[in-house]
Amino acid sequence: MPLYYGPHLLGPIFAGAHATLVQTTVAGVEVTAIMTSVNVASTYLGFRWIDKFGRRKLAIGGYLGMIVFALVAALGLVAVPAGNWRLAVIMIGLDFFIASFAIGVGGTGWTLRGEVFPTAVRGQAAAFCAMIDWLANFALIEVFPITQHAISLSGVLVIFAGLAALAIAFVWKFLPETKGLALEDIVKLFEPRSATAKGSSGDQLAA
Amino acid sequence: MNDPPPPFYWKLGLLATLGGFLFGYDTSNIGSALNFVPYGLHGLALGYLVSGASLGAAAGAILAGPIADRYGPKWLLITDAAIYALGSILSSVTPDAAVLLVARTLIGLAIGADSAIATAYIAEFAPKNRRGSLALLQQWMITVGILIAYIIALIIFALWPASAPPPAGGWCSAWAPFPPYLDSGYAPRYRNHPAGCSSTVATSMPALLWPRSARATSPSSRSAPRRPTLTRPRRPRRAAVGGPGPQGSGVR
Repeated sequence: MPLYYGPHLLGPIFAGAHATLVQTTVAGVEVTAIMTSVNVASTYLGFRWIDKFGRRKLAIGGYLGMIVFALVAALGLVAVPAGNWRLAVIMIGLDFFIASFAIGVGGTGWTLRGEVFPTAVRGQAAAFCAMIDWLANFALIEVFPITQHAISLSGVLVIFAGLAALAIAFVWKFLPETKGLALEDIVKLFEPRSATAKGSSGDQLAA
Repeated sequence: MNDPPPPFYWKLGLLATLGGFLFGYDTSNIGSALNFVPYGLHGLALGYLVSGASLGAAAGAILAGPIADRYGPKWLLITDAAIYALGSILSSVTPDAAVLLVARTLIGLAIGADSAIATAYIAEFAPKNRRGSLALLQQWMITVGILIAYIIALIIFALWPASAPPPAGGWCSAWAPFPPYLDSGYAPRYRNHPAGCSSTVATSMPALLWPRSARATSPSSRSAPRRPTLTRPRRPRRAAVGGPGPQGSGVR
């Protein structure tokens, strides 16, 4: 979201009081360009670390980071008086928010989609997931202007933090660790834990 | 295994790179132009302006599978490039807000279909040990595309700050006559102008490079048996009328 609305939203915050529209937009674009650079670097890191730390740690860590830094940015927007400190707090909040997302689930979400489905349906299932992803993306961005008008940017950030908390709960409960497993084993993890043997090995892996 | 990657691998790599890049670029280039779109959009309309490309992409991804199976990916890629060009040019010369929203959706359709084809073909034809890297490359290139969208915006603002909205002149000499026309304030200028030309070229590349036959070096052992349609050598429009081919729906 910040990557699309960045210049529009953040320009006025970061530009001077008497800036022209172009200058305001440029300020917004610069800030967004920094955020997108962070995104590029963090996505790369996410891909590097996914096998080092595993999906669960990365996802949960990522969501935790998103919660913390969304709240930092929201605080910066409402609690810090105007000035360089305010800009710094907002920047740190948003940039680390993006970084947490990109490391945690931004790139690695796609890896998971490739892994957890049985081979026969993987293509269709992954495509279906991608579609849901884009539709959710669309819905979020579509309602953002209205929501922002109603509860302001800081309110939206708090909602994001709440959603990230829900995501942590979901991952905690439902996502087995798939790092280092062969594809056939991963599929077994998701089968109903009826057989005792399967159940025990699955519990060990869902660390 | 350390065999040098087959030639087809590089084309897959190009497809992955471009598919991802264009997706990222086109969904975010609206961000820099928001302040200058002169229609005073708010609320849901403004939301659609920004998200229309994403919605189009979702639709394009769904439609791409059956169409690619029926008419062949090369034809679809060429059509995508044409749709993209239409969307880009349209978004630069819109007479009103509705056309702009439609243009964004068209752009989305094209890049969504391209993304879907890239993903499917990488999954199907990449050598097993390279498949993961290509998939990751495609995802990472999306983020690069987003970044480049904003860098281009900065460059345009730096070079032509006097004329806001952003000018049409620039990279493509074909657009040179436009700035005076647009200066009259009649039509809104738009980010897509210089980008539209270069991106159309970029979008056309996969189509032009696509091999005649969809048969890759070696069939991947992990490919689902239910999708043999993608491995069939491409041939002109099938004689079968209506309905899916003999191999079943071959749905994405």
